[in-house]
Amino acid sequence: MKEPIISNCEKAFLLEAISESRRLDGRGMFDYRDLSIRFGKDYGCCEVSMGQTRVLGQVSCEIQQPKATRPNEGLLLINVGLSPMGAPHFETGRQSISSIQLNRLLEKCIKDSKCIDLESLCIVAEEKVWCIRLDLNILNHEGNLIDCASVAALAALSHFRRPDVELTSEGLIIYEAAVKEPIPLGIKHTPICVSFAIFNKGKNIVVDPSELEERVAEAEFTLGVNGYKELCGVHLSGSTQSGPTIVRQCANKALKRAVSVVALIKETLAKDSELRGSNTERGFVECVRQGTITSHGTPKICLPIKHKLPVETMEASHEDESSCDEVEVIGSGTVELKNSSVLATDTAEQVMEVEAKPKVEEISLSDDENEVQILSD
Amino acid sequence: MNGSSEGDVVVPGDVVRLTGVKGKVVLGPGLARTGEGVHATKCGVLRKGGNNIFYVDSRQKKYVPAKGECVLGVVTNARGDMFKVDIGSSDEASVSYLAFENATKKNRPLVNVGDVLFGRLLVASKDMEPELVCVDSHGKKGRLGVLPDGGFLFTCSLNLVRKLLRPECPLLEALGKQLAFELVVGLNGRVWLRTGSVRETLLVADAVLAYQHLQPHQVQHAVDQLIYQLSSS
Repeated sequence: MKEPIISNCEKAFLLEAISESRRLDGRGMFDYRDLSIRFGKDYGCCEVSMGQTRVLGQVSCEIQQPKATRPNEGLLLINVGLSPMGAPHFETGRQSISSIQLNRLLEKCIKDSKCIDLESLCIVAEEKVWCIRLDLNILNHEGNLIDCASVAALAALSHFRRPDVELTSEGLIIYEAAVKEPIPLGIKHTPICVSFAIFNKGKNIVVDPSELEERVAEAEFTLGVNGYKELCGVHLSGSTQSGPTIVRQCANKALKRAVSVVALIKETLAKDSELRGSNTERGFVECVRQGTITSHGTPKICLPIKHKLPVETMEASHEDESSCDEVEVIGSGTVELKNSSVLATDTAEQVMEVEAKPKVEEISLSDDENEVQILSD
Repeated sequence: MNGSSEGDVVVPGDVVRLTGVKGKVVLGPGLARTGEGVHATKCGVLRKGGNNIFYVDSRQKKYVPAKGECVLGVVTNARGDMFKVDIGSSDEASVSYLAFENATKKNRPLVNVGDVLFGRLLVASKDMEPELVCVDSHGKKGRLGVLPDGGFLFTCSLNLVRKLLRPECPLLEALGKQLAFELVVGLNGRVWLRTGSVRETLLVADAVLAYQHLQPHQVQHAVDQLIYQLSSS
């Protein structure tokens, strides 16, 4: 399926809004969307969401023969899979331009910057090394896939633990997690990507672009920066008239952003290891928000309304985590949704609220009197 | 199983019991006849309209073309004698170049790729590509045709557009008393909006999208807040 066309009026409106320093979803020009990182039950499984963009990362390992040119280094493979689940115009299998660009950028940022200590993955030189495979799946594409994928990649790699091995005279023993504690990967530094969309011949820069902004932008500038404020990669797609001022501006913002993102990853990792230690319930099930109807709701455009409206749009109600909807089953075939939150005035919930009708007597219909006509489907 | 009756939540496959009606029963969207009985084909709440119409009130974002509906489309191909228009359905719709007001073979309409069209569906069935026209049966354009520049097009769910198109929409009436704006609502879940400035457009668009979850008594308060925000900045 082809990517749907953007109408001229949408393009013109977006450019005019950007030139007035307004964004369609009400963010400031340099405001990022909410970043949340969730780890799954297995080591190396991580889901990252930036606003509506969601990426799932999974790390796995295998013992293989090393490359002939590097006999005492492990292998690291990064694969980004674009499936129609992310967006209707993505195709599995076929390498589209955006998928190649994404793969290459992540390779540049993570592999070429040598952030993973590959020599520690060697077991027997020239014969057996660990091959670490990172698979990223795009769950939803709402702009800025590069940033989201890089955070997912880094978080998954930092979370991953490989089995402990021992080389004895009989051969190689790979210990199970229950027998010997698995070992984390050696991560020397933490690179992530930060993207900027450039409009109006370099006059306006926007941080964390949404899907429409990405498609309308004349250029997208991506910087790979690590937690120590070192540059790990640079990429510009598209073309724009920009000078050194733009590059400097973007670099400053990227440095600040990288530091805060890396701090968030470390914090989330610490919380996760705490949860694992205390043996409480963890994993993705806990991350699914209870009590909110998640489909059909989120408006793409919303302004930060300074004065609190009694209206709760779907996005606002996501923050209201205390409101828990209990689902009570009354009889067969009838469901009542009770909302204990005072503020939620969602008509969606009102519509689903159904009063249990007492099933009294059977009304018998005589078939010859009824005619059934099908109107439309 | 007794079957579901009016006011129950149904899922596809549920047997529906049509109670309290004598005579002709009209099955609306979401219901289908199976032999002697009726079953639901969509998820939602079973409702009764008027005296004898039953339907399933369900939520949908993907548009399925139906004949006679007015939709907003974006032109993807304007060469030759048929323009291709994307209306958000599984197939692109086609518009003949003669289906515009005052269009003749010598006098072609000014339609470019990327323009927004408001047209009526002439042909819409499961087996054929949908066809649009931008002119009524008398040859007059009325409100149809290419929309002018300067507006903004956004998508929303099909329920919201049906709510907006009700005869007395409280939101549009309240907004109309305070602001000047032009609004075109397509039944395929697309809305085109034009106001005096970018800020006003964004605020009105936000109000329209929020209207999906607003109760009628909250509308006036929401509009008041909007006007306050406009005047304060």
